[in-house]
Amino acid sequence: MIPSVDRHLEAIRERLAETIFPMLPPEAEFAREQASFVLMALDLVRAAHPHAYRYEVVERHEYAAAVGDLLALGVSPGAEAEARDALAAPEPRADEASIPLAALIEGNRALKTVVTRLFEALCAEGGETADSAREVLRRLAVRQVARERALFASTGYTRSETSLAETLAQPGAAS
Amino acid sequence: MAEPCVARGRVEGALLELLAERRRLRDAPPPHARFRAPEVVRAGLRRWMSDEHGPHARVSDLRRLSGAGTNELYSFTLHRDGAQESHVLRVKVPGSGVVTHLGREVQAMRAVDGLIPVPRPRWLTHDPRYLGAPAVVTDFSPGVQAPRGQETRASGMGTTYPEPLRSRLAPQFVSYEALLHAFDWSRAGLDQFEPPRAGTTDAVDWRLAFWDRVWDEDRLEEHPSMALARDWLWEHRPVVDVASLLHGDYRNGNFLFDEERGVVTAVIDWEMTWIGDRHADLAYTMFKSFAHVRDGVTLVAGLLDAERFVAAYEEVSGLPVDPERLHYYFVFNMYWSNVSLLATGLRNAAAGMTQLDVMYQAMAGKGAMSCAALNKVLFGGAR
Repeated sequence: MIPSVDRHLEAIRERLAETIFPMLPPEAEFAREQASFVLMALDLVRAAHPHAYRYEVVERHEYAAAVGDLLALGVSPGAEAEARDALAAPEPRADEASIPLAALIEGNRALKTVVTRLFEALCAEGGETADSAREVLRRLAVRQVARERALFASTGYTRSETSLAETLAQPGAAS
Repeated sequence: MAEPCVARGRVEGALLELLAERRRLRDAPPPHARFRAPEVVRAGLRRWMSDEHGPHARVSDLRRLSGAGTNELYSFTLHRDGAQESHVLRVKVPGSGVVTHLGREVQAMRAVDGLIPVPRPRWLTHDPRYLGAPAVVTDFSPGVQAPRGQETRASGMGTTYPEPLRSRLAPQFVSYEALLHAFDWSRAGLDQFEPPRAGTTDAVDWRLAFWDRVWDEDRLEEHPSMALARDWLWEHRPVVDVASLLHGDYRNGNFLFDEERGVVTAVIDWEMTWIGDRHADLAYTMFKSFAHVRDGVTLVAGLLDAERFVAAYEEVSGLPVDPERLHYYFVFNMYWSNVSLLATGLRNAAAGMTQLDVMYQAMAGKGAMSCAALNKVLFGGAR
């Protein structure tokens, strides 16, 4: 994903801090005070968002274990039924999202570079090999563009018939 | 692992120097890389004009103009020898979203001055002591970029023209593009450009190699649509029958006009100029994103339909328009504009080189749309 969510947040913070907030008049005390909270909140979001999913995975397993421990102590049938319903919600694997987002992004970028180099080398061979390599890239390009169209739809620059969530959930999206 | 693809053509010397300078700036950004305060510009311009014209030269009425993509623009009055002159100052933006060469821009404008109305370049400096970046002062050209009352868009893109203005401007717009392409640049002293051989692929080879190099230096990550486009462009390079001086950004919004008289007063924004196939300029001018649909007819650059545009161009220039080469350069233009949208702008934003970082990053969406268009043109867009 380019730019990454973190890069967007960093740029937004810089523009607010460097370009926009200094233009607030000195007498706009309330606005200036809130501006400093906006920057603080943006710093928090930048620090937290790469770990948001992992944070919830950890909590899910920790609290599910606690529910199990408490049920083992004996509770009323009504309370047990409510607890079992809560435990029935989809559960992520315990190690899900354990790879730091930045490392995942870096790994994906390395893979994209490898794909391009292999593609160029195979194209240089010409003939059927080159045609087959082009076909692989075409399939990749279609899916890449579908994701990007959904990602940028809110800017108005792109249009997409499916939301980003739907696009990512489509068969083959993570095959 | 496969070796990285090396550039298949050579890059012109002036552009290689430009790329080297860009790398130096990124490694050690100058103090005013992101933002030059008005007092910094005023002081730098005063020093420069004083060095050019003597200690009695004076600058007044300095005013920032809109637009800051590749150049910061200011109007000002120069007082010297008892006279007042209106000028425009253009200062290169180190963190620009597109790579441009001020020396070539100025040479091209000087070469065609008199043939085409342009803001006449007066003084050029590459000395960073004045303004921190290369800068040029041109004469002030009167006129407007868009009709009165029309919402001004970034760089004047998508400007439309009501009648009778449209009918007056259209023939001038076509003629100036035709005259430019028919112009004999070989004796114009364009030493910042290297002369490609007509009847070869020199011109397109060099330009493709340049954009490939920029993509390789600037991209944050590879993109399959760009890899496919690069492959296709090298595979299908057409011979350049006539090497023409090109504007590189010839469209609505890039000329000024007198609204009352319907006269083009200046063709502006020559930053993208190069010597190559006229179809590159024509395909760019005919981009749908610059067009305007009126009564079901698509008007090239918001001015006239494609058939009349091509016919008028051929008549004035004496040069034929080849639909196959037009198609090639549609793809070519999408490729280089994506280099800017998906690589250079984002790289400079990430490097802290620009105050337009939020804008460049949101505009990556335009790059995504353009990749969708590339997919469609290259293989129908679905697999």
